[in-house]
This record gives sequence, structure tokens and C-alpha cells, in this order.
Amino acid sequence: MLLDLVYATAFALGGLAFLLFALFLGSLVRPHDPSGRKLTTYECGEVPVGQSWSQFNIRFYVFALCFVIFDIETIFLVPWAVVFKNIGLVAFVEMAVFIGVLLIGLAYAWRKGALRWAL
Amino acid sequence: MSFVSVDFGLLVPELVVLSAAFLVLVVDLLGSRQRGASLWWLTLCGLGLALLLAARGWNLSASTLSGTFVLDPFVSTVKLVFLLSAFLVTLTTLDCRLISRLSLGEYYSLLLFATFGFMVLASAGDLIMIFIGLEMASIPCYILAGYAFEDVKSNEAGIKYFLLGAFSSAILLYGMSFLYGLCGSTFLSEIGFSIGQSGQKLLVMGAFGVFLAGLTFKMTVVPFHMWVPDTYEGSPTPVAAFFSVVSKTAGLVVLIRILAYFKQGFLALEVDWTQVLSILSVLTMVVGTVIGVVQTNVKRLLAYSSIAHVGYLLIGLCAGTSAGIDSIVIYLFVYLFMSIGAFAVVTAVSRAEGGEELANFRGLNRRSPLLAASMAVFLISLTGIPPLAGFIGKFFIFAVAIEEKLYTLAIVGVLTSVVSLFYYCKILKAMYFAEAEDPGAAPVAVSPGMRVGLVLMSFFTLALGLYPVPLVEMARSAVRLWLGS
Repeated sequence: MLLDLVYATAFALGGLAFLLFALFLGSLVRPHDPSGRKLTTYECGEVPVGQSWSQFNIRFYVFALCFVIFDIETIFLVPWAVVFKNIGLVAFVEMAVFIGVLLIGLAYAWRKGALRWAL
Repeated sequence: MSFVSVDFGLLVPELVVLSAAFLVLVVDLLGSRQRGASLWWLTLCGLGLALLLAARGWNLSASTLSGTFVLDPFVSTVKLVFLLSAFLVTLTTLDCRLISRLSLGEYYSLLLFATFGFMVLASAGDLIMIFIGLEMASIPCYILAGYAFEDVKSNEAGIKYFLLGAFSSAILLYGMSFLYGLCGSTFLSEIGFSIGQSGQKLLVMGAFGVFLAGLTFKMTVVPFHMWVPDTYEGSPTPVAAFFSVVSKTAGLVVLIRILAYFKQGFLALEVDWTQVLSILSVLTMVVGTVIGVVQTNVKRLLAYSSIAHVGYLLIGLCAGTSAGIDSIVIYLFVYLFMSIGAFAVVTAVSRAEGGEELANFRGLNRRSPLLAASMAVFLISLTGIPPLAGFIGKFFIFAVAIEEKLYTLAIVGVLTSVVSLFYYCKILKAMYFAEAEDPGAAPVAVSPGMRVGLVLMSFFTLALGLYPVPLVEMARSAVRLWLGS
């Protein structure tokens, strides 16, 4: 128990020391050239416009959600296709139910106007 | 190659509820003018069918989905509580002033999804299923709490419930991760076995303690109750009624089942949770009752009263015997009718008056004697006065406490019941002895569904008080079958 603690402490200290050593080594060899541009938000030089607390259209969120749902569906479909032959009809029915549920969701979103951009 | 085989026969009530939820959504999309009524009937039929099927397979003991879904008489009995509550809440929904007629489809389907989630949660045989069930139930509940989009208080209720609910889910998950780390398994039965073997008393206590904290959040046990009054006050009233019974029951059932699974392990480690649970129980009873005394909003008052009732339920758990669990099951059935009934009357009055302050109940007896009479039945029953069902519930709970020599709990329980009489009487006094502000006010209009619901609930509150034998027998045999198997 105590030995474990010693190991853990040694590991933590070793990790910290390695980090500091690497930074120190880096500071020896890297050029030192501070400039104002380096302090901007994007180092590529793009100047940000406005505040980051700006309002944006809530519809992005709905679209993203719909996209993610069907993205996940693909993730399930690929392993399903691989083992499909071994499992047979049960797998087909189960996937049909799964996709059916997702389609109801899509039909719902469509009908309720969630996919329309204009309000 | 093997794959998980599913015995769909055991999942039938859940599947019926789930299909009803989807059907409601689809019918809502078809969009005929009369769809409000058909959605209502569809929800009632779905829940009724599930209720019948769950009652029929009541004495089954089996598990499926590789043991993550467990069915036994105790769980099936609890599912009856969920389904009955959802059924009664649906009956009384149409009278709610805050729920817009245009979005009833989502309301009913969310209610059904939540019921489905709670049913899965009750049946969970491993930690992952517990978490999935809990989230499937909680997410619809967050939306339902904030369902009155235009009402500021409802929005507040939704966001408070969501933030604290998510927080408590995270705590629960943290406890689960410790349990998994200690035992290397997510199955409750295996964890129960290996915590005894592990010998890590402190770690097990910490892990289970964190888990318990997350769970007691959902059960609205006192140090974790602060979200309850605001959430119940802001939510549409039928939704608050649903929370007051179903979400508490679900948390309690998970706790009962886990304690049963872990019993041997805790015994081996000499860990005893009775002390902790007793303290929680006393705190819950006292805080729920004492703060309830100063409330002037009836919904808020009922929220505090529902907190106090969780305290009474915990006494049965502290007893740690099968008789204790019997008394909890009896109490749950009794509590269901009186709590949803009281909230239903608040729903009706609130539509006529536009609010649910005590003043809105003044002179209710003059306006609508039947409404006032059924409210009186529910309130007297909630206090636990003899001829009504609430007395039977409390009687069994306190009897178990005395049998197990938990005298402090019994005394606090009886004293808080007496104090609670005071605040229930405030409503009774307003209804019967105060003059209405507007003596010529028309009777409170109630929908046929509400009328049927109120009659049913008052009937059961009376009947279970006068003749509790079938309920007691059912609770006893369910618990005996479960613990015997």
C-alpha cells in the first residue's frame, strides 16, 4: 500500500519534471521574437469580428442534431452489415425497426417545420 | 457466433408503452382537426393495455437481454404503480390551463416515453441499464417540466430540473464508476458478490455513498430536495402529479433492489446503511413538514408534503426486512391515488381561477361541492386519518418501524403527521369555512376525463382504507415471491 503510494508520487513527480525539462530545453533553442500579432485569437492572422457571446440562429442546432442522428445510424449500420449473414432475419427486422423509428423522427421534424430555415 | 437473444415476451408492457408513444407522434403528424381527442384516447388505451399485460405477467420471475433486464413480482407490482399513475395523470391532463391544445401530441408521447424509461429503470439488472433507464425517463421529464412554453415559471422549473437532474446523474455515474472499478462488473448480482470479497470497506462505502447521493436526488430526499418546490410549482400541474409519484417511486425501487443485491456483500464488510437511511428519513420528514407549514401556494405545499411522504417511505427501507418492503409497496399504491388526486383538484381549480394560491380555494365548497369533497378526501387521507387509505399506508409503515425497534423514526413519523394535519387543514378551512372573494362565481368546470379520474381516485382512496386486504395480500405475496426466488 505504502509502496504503491511511493510509486504514484514518483510517477507524478517524474511526469512534472519531464514536462518542465522539455519546456526548459525548448527555451534554450527556440528563437525569441515577441510581436503583437502572436497574441491575437487566431494565429493564422484572421481578425475576429465582434464578441464570442453573440447570438446565432437556433436552427443550426436542430440541423446538427438531425445530422448527428443519421451519422450515428451509419455507425450502427456498418457492423450490422458485417454480421448480417450470420444472424439472418432477426437482424434484418431489428434494423428495420431501428431505421423505422429514426424515419418517424425525421418525418416528425419535417412535418413540424424543423427543417425549414425561415421561421 | 453468438448474439444477445431477447425474450420479447417479458418486454411486452414496455413495448406497448413505447409503441403507443410512437403511434401518438404519428397520429399527431397526420394532423386532422379532431386529433386532440384521438391522441387522448390512444394514450389511455396504450397505458390501459400495458396495465393489463403487466398485471397478467405479474408473477413471472425471469431475466433477458443477458441479464440486464430483470422481471420479478416486485418489479411488476411497481410497474403497475407507474402505469396507473400515468393513466390517471392522462385522465386529468385536459383540464390543465398551461398545456396548449396544439402541442398535445408531444405531451402525451413524452409522458409515455418517460413511463417507458421508468419501467426499464425498475427492471434494470446492471448499472448501465440503470443509467440508460434513468436518462430515458429523465430527459422527457425535463421537457415536461418546462412544457408551458409561454409561462416563465414553467421555464424556470424546466431549467432547474434539468440542471440539477443532470448534476445528480453525473454524481450517480461517478458512484457507478467506482463500483465498476472495485468489482470489474456492471451486473448488480456480481457486484453484490464481489464487494464482499474485495475487503475494501472504505472504498465500498465511498462508492456506494456517492451512488446513494445521486439516487436520493431523484427521490427528493432532504439534503438534496432544494429543486423540488420550484420545479413542482412551475411545472404544469398534471406533470407535477406525475413527478410526485413516479419519479420518487422509481428512485426508491432502484435503491430497494440494489440494497437487496448488495446485502450479502455489505454484511461481509460489516457496512450498515440503516443509520444513514434513518437520518435521511428523519430529515426528510421534518423538513418536508415544517417548511410546508408556511406555504401559501397549494402546489408548493403539496410539493413539500410529497417530500415528507418520501421520508415515511424511507422508514420501511430502514427496517430492512421483507415486511418493510411490503409496507412500502402498500404505501406506494395508497399514495398514488391521494397524491395524483390532490394535484388533479388543483389542476381544475387553477384553470377556473388562473392560479393555485390558497385564496383561490376559498369557498370552493359553495361553488363545486364535489370537487371540494374529493379534495377533502385526498387531504385527510394524506394526513393519515383512519377510515381512509392514507391511514392504512402509515399504519403498516409505523407498525414495521415499531417491530424493528426503530422507535425514533416511528415517533418522528407520527409527530410530523400531526404537524402536517395543520397545513392540510389550511386548505380544508379555505374550501369550507372561508367566504369566496366573488360569491357569485360559477362552479368550476371539469372535463369528463377529470370527473372520471376524480371519482376513481376518491373511490380507491376510500375503498383501500375500508378494505385493504387485497392490496396487502398482493404486496406481501409479491415481495415474498421476489425475495424467495
